[in-house]
Amino acid sequence: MFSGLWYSLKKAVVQIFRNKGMSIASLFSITAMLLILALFFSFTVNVSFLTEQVKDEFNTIVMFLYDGVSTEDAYKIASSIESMNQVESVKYVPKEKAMEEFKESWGDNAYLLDGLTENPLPNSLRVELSDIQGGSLVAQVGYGFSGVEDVRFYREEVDKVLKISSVIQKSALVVIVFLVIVSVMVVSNTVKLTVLARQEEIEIMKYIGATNWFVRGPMFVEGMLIGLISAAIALGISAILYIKLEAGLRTDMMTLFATTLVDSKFVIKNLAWIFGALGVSIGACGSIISMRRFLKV
Amino acid sequence: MIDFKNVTKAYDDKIVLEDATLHIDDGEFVFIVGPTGAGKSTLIKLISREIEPDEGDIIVDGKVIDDLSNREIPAFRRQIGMVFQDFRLLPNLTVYENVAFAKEVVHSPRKTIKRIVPQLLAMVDIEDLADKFPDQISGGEQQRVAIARAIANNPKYIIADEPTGNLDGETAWAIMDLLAQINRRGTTVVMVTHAADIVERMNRRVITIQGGRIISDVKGGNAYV
Repeated sequence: MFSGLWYSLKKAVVQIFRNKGMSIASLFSITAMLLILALFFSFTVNVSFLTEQVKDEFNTIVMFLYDGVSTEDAYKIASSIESMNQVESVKYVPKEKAMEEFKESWGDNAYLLDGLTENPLPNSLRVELSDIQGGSLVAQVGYGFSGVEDVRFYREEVDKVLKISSVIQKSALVVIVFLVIVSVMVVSNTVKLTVLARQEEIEIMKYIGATNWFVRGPMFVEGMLIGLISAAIALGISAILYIKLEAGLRTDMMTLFATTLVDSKFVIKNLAWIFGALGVSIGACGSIISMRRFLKV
Repeated sequence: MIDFKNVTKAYDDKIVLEDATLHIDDGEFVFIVGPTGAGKSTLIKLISREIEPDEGDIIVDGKVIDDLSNREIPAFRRQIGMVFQDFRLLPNLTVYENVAFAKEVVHSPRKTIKRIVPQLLAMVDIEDLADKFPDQISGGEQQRVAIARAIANNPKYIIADEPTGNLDGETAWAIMDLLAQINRRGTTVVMVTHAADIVERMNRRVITIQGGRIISDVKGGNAYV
């Protein structure tokens, strides 16, 4: 078995070098499609990542309470909101605490607030959502309490971001599926051409008394090798491009979205798995499927 | 021994071989002659189990080869050396590798291959072409490679389908000498040919096929119609 593998590997390497034209054609088509795949993959991953960031930032709802609401009543409202599925936690923020935070955010200019004789800030409840989609519902429930004066959350902004990102993710998925189908077709055609060119060769081997696996083995390994090499090339190119892009966009991304691109290590690691699996299986399946009908001599 | 017992083969409705019965002993040299489309190639394809008969049995070495399963065919073919009019060498392999391939197919150890292949090349007188590719050598030389490959595993039978068809007179005779030499060592040779002069001069058994039927089977001489 092992010597058979070694034999196949040796023959495959020799064949790849002697059939330069076909090898390079398959290599290019697989690499090209993997690169396009990488483009959409990193794009989608980044969109998802950004969406998560946005969700984290905007998943807080603030409910302002009337001045007359007692602390006890405030806690009652808090606990009934907390029992909702969409709610992660509820925190009661008395007006004094709110003022402190307010002063903190003013920093060096906080002394200006010292002139206030009365605290104008209301008591409030800070609601952390577990599911940002449930924001509207929680807000509505909040309005339902007589002690709640106003509810504030970034519904429109969040809705917009969610809508855009879901459209982007869905269309990227469609494009990726489409790409995989197209690339499988392109690759299987390339392999079919290779096998067609080898049809006579296969026939001759069968005349000499070669078993199907003896013929198939080296071609199978050849397909896998070409797939692997393409995967390696595509991975190298996309890794370099992504790292450059990440470095180049770092400052712009920070100011715009308060975050950077998804870590290149994460993206490259995942691309490596995807490319390896795709490259090898496309190469191997391509050779097996397209060889099948020529082996019947 | 090769036996055909009332073998009939038809493609669609066209009968290409009808009720053929013949017996070829071990060590024989047999010509199969007849006009184009007479059924000669069908006969060869039947022996190499490329096709199966519709009726009758083909028995090689006491074994009915119609019964062979697909898995048994490769091993069966290894005892038959095939030589073709168009040589059928593997274009991407060198002369040496083409001959070595026949040994690799039967899983010969590397050492044996390295020892045997040069001997085979020397036998057909092309040892200096070992590193050439098929398209770099002449037709006669290619046929020599094909013969070296055919005898690489000491087959009991050599089936040659118009082996001199693409060669000029002198080269053709050189190839015939080789086949005769192989036959002298005890290998059965079955050769399909159109070349009347070769059949005449070789003076061996001649089976004539016409219209899918065996119309004559004589020892020696010239039965070409």
